[in-house]
Amino acid sequence: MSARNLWSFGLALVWTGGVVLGAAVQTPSAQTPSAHASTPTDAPRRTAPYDTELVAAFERLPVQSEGRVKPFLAFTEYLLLRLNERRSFTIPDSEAFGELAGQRLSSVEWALDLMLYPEQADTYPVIVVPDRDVLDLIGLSSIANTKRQRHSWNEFGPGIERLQEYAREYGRIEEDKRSRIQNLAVYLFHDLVEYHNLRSAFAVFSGRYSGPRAQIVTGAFTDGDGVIRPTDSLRRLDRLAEVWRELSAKTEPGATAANGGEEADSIGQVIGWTGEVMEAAGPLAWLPPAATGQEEWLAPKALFDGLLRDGNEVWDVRVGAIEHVQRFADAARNPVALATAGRAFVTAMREMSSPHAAIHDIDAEVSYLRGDWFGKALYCFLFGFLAAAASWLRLRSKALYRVTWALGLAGAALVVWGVVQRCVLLDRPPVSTLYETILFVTGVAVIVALFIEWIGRRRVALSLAVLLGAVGMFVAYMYESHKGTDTLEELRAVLRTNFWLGVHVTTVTIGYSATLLAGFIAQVFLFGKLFGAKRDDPAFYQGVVRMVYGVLCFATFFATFGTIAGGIWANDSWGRFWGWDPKENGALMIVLWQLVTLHGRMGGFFRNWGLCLMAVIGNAVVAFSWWHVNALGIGLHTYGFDASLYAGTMIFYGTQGLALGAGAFACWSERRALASRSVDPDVAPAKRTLLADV
Amino acid sequence: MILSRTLTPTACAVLLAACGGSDRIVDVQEARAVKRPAPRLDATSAERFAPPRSESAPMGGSQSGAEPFAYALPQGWAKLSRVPMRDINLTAPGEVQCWVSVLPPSSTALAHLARWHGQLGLPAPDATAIDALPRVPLLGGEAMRVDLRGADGTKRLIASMLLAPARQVFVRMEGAPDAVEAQLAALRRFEESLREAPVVAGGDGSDEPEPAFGWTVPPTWKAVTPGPMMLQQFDLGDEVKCWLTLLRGDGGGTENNIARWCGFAGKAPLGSDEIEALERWDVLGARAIYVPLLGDDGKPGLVGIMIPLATHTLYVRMSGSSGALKGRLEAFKTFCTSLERRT
Amino acid sequence: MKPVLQKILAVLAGFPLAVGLLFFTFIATWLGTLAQKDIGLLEAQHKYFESLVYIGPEEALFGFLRFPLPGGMLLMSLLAVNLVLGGIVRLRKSWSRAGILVMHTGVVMLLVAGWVRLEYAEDGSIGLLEGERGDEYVAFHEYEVAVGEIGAEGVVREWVVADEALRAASGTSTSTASFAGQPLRLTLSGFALNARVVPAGVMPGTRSATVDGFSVQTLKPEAEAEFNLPACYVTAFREGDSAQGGILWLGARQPWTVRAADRTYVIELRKRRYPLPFSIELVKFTHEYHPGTNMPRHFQSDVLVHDGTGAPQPQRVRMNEPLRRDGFVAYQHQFRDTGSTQLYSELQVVKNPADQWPLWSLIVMTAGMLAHFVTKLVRWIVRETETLQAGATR
Repeated sequence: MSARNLWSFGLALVWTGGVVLGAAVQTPSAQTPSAHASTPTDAPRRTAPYDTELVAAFERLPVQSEGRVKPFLAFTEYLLLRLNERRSFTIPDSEAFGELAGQRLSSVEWALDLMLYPEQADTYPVIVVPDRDVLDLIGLSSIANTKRQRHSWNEFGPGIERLQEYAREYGRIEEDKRSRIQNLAVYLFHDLVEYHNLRSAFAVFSGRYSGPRAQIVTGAFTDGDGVIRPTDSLRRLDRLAEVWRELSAKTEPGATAANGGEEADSIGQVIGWTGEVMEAAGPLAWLPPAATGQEEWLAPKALFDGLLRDGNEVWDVRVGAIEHVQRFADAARNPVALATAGRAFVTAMREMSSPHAAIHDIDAEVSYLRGDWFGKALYCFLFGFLAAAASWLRLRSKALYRVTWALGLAGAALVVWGVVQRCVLLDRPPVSTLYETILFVTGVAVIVALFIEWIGRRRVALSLAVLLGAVGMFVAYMYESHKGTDTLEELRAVLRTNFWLGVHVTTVTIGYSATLLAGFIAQVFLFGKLFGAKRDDPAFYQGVVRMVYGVLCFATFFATFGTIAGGIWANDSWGRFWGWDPKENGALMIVLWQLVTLHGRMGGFFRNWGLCLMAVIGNAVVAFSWWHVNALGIGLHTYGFDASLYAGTMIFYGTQGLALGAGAFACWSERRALASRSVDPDVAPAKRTLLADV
Repeated sequence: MILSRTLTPTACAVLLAACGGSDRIVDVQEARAVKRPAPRLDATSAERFAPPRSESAPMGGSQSGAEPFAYALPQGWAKLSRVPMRDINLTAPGEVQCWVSVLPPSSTALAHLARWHGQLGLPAPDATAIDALPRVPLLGGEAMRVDLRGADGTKRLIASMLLAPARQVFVRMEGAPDAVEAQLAALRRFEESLREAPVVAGGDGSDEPEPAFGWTVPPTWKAVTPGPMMLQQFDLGDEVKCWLTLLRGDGGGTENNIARWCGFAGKAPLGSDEIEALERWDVLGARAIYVPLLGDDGKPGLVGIMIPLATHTLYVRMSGSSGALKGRLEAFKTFCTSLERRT
Repeated sequence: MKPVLQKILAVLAGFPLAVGLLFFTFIATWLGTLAQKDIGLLEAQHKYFESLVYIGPEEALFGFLRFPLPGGMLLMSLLAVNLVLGGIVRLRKSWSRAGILVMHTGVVMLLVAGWVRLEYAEDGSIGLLEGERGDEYVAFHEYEVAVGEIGAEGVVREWVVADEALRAASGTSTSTASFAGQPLRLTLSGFALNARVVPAGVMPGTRSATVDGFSVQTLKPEAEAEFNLPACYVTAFREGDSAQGGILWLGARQPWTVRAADRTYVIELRKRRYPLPFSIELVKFTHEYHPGTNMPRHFQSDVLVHDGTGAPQPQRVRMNEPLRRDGFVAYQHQFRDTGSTQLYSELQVVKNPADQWPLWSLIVMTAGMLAHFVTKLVRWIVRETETLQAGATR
């Protein structure tokens, strides 16, 4: 299987896209329809907060991005997350920002500012530059010297072209070969392009044509107030184009007014101006396609091209959409009118897109995003963990135990609910991306731990459930904000719709999860012994070991089944059951490690201590398979990685190494103590082979 | 006697083994009956081993971000973004499209020709049509030139196909017959200019040591930390920076670099005759191209010089506002001419 | 003698061997995965997983420590033996162990399937433009030297020197091939797995021979073995004529022409081709992207299968829905989008006698695991509940 071709093919396409985006920034002047637009010297400024209903409406505005129709909220949240590393932006409490100083803007509010009041939004310090070396690189040392990490578009102004130069240069280097600064420069530039693309997406529609008006132009636009707005020309674009073609065919280039040259030129100017406005509105695809069968949504420029190509008859309905947005943009100076026009715009757009199946999940997705289930679960688990910790100090407290149970269950329910909602929204099995594995692994670990607690009531599993839940949700949160892209993402063809694929990822992920759980329960044993907890309760430790063993068996079942199911999927998809691909090998390593552990114990090579130590190593094996192999940069399964995730993996290895060392030390000291008492209840007297009883 | 009989072959075997070589004898009995058009017979070694575009990517085009070939863009033509199967994608005046695609060896010349005939609504060609095709030089090989007009007279298709066992290269031009006619000369120039893309840093030849240089720094210049990929950087005051970069080979092509520099200085790319007209300086024993890209005083500007060396190209660039640059041209020239090689 | 045999049997069937084998398989998998970064997947596969012994790790510990370790082939063969003897034959038969027995049987089936795949499968790909038809597919990493005889209608007959003989012609060894009565004999030498052919004098000090002003420069094999361009020297001994020297190279643009007696041959080094007993015609290729992106969502090839008897049969090949016929399976592999009319689709073709065995083994294994682990789970729940109740009554 030549995976390389497949992937690099995709990459090349992404790169091509980058070039196109890059071109947009290279000539910012071409993006601003300055030619004949009456540039308002006093650009509108927002002075009052947005109407809440207006914001709520815009959250639900359907747009298409990254291959999917999604609510505008999803689009803005991740854009802001990338730029600002947060999902909201607080305007600094400084006089320069007038009435709005200190206000917290949701992502949609910020985006509306950018789209309606670009001059104002350009002063917001919203762009995070994580390393000042990047600023030095592009000659912005002066702003790098300020203490702020966040800078405004205007501050970047002079450095953007230089940044582009570097981004292009570095863009040629393969991603994993770039240095940190090179990568940052490429990403930063990419983010700035997106900022620029959204900027003025609506504001441009408040423009008026102010170019030459020959008789013919005045004649063509007699119906209105004499002012020519974008829709005035869009409404009759096909006729204008026809007239222009006729006139141009009759006249030579450079003809004078007397023989019609001026007329042709004047009509041409109007058409050109309209095209510029539509192009300046950027690539945000918010216009639904003309026919229900089509799937590609349009940016305004595509509508303009469509009008010229197919005529107004086909596209006039969509011109209505532009009329709405134009009214909205015109109302920028009047908050009341703005709210009315904005709601009307969104209502109209939702109506227009209603025949398209793709929008049916928009409201559900808004509720998913607004719900922030995983964030809430994080809080449940955190408080649950506090309760659990307290309950260990006050062992008799039934109330704290119950509170922990309640919070653990609530957290688990939130995770399950979130995952289910994702499945419904995306119409696919729960695990397809790396982000989803985090959610799923956490959910399964919590649920299995809660089940063990329900059966055994030893408090150990319950405490671990809330602890692991909190850690897992935190990792998910970090991963998401680090990646900064929509986690509800579409998949490429290989990863779509196959029974065995769904079975494989789900089961193998349960395998990861249970292996980790066993490893953490084992650490309860090791650290408990190390710190001498429950010294007089051997039954407690026996119970813990049984838990480790039981969970390992559970893990082995799922890991084995999942790994082989993965092979069967591969065989179904490209005729090779096993390709020794790193991700496959990682899964196999987990299975092998479990088999070594289980057979080693069955063979009597080690018992309680050994089992627990082996289970801790199992954690490192899972980390290798789950995260580390992605950093090797080889194979089909690597979903893309990041240096900091690699660092995270290394830190995890470190912690597990410490646990292993501490456990080994505890084992050694216990055996020494027992030997001095020459009583050894834990060691089978008969068999001492191979690994002895570590 | 018996001993010597066994010993002799053994000794021979040992001797052979000592020489390290053995000869495996195979007798291929089975012949497969096939039916394939004959390849070009009696190709010379030079034709057979003309350098491939990229040894790591016989699949061609979309492997990496860079275009597979270097070329000079004819006047009036423009580059379009690459799309699959168009590894170089260009447009010429009169809505003429021109593109280059590189395919893995997949099909015969006749099959390609037949497909094009089909696209233009022409009757299928017969097998002799291939032999009748004129040959044109392309990338050091000989390509077959196809020139077809659509059945309805609205379209003309010109294609040069270079079929090699490792890859197939196609240069295609399509458009209205008159418009294509007007671009024929440009197409010929374009085809002549096509050559294998030079391998940039990290590719082959990387075992060559990087040359080192010395220079005299003008008194007012201040050395500052060089950015990535820079050999050295100077601060000249008034936000003017001057820096040196060294790239392998021709650093991606003179035209490409100048076009990029032009973009940086906010200017339209220079045409090939404009580049031809640029001043040349003698630096480091090479004829260096001096590229001053200056605008109105407040506008960003860039002044650069490209020094082609045996294995590398050295670039010295100075950027800042055009006004500030104008006052520093002398110092720049002094600096550039002070460059010398160090070992 | 008997006790010795029994001892050997006991070791081969023993627990220590099982644990050791699993452990070293784990190590081989781990090191083999890390090695892919340095030597590429195919090379790592040969070295770590298909070998008897390997020396690892690839990146020596502390810069110098490397060990000879058991390779995948050795480990898995022994594991199969150990499983059959210890995990099946000598396993104490009881109802509580029924699950284990079934499980082990499934694993043996899987190992056998893997071995059959390794030894007997042939894979490659066939790339077609719409309207084209092909009846052979091309290996990914195997090569051959093809000798084609030119007749009235182009190449009419073809003899092939196989991959094995070609690779044998490396170092100071040579391979000599004769072709059933043809007035031509070829001696191959100096095979290099990855090379380029450069004009002589480009690399001063090179020791490789020069033929017609060109010589072979050996390169490091590519990490992606598919992109290797092998080359070799060749001498053609012609009946009643002088010998003629040449260079064969996968990257060559034209084959090498040799005339012997009154016949003309074209000789080329190419990727190994396997004939198909039928031919595939690509009628139409369809693909979809996720709207507004370049990410493929779906693609498929509509093909006609011609087997020379009766009408060609239409068939659709797409992701996860291969074309199965006469022991061959063709999968939708990749494609190239022209943006216009020229669509190119590549099917991966595999002939694997053990095609569906893993599925059967999974079914067997799952049955075994379910039986075994569910019993264990129930037992654990019962035990915990009892402990709990005991605690409550106390």
